[in-house]
Amino acid sequence: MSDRSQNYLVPGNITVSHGVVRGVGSVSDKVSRRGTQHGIQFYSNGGANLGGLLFNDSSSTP
Amino acid sequence: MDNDGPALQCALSSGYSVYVPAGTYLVDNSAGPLVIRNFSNTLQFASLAEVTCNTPNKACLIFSGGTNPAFLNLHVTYSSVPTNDCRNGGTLCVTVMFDGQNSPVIRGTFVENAWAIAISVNNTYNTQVLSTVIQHSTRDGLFLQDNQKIFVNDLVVTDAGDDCLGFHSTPAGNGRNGGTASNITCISTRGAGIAFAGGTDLTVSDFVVNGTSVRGST
Repeated sequence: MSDRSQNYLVPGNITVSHGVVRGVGSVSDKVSRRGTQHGIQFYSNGGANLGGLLFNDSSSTP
Repeated sequence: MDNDGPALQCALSSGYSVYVPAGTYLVDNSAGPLVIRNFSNTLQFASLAEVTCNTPNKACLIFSGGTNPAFLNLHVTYSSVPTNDCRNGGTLCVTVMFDGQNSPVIRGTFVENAWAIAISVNNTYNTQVLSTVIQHSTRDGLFLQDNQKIFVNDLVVTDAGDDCLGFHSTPAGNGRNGGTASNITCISTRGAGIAFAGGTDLTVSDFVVNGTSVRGST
């Protein structure tokens, strides 16, 4: 989905919660893609992708 | 081959709701998809009804326009499993598209062995996409672009050739934004599990992404 010619806007005010991401990078692929190694991709029109994710389970308490 | 496309188009252009009984309805899409315009009633497929398109490298079924339509239990596939992924200059890269509806309800859709994007929902307002199953596509599973207040619940995508669920917006969308997606299951995705390429005010919750692609070599 991601190439500059598609002229996508920059996403904003995105909330992602209560999820599980596993098996990242486990599926064979013939197409070279960026930003797919996180399970969740935040794409900004040919620019940098989301990068590493930090997960914070706010429901857990010390 | 028999071509049930004209009969389907006639029924879906009648101005009435349509119930499709069990059976396989062959559509010749070799010259282009079956395009239904301004359907504003209820289309309901029986549990064993399916539309099968005969050309697995072209779009199959397009709904364009309409107000308050309901699309219930649509089942769409191809007569042979697509392998082409509509890269390198392909157009209308989608199996089923909903475009330009106002307040549609799209419930119980099942798309298997999809060419390119399995289901694309574009340029709509207040859309509900409910209880959707996609099994194998050569590109994205559920592709959403330039929709205003879309609501997705209960989506299962298996073996997508690109993103499982993607939100997109473009300048042509005139600021249509907002939506929620919940109860999302993405299994074996050759792209991102959940992708955001544009769009604002989006909330995704209660999801499982199990298996995304390694970086390819070509």
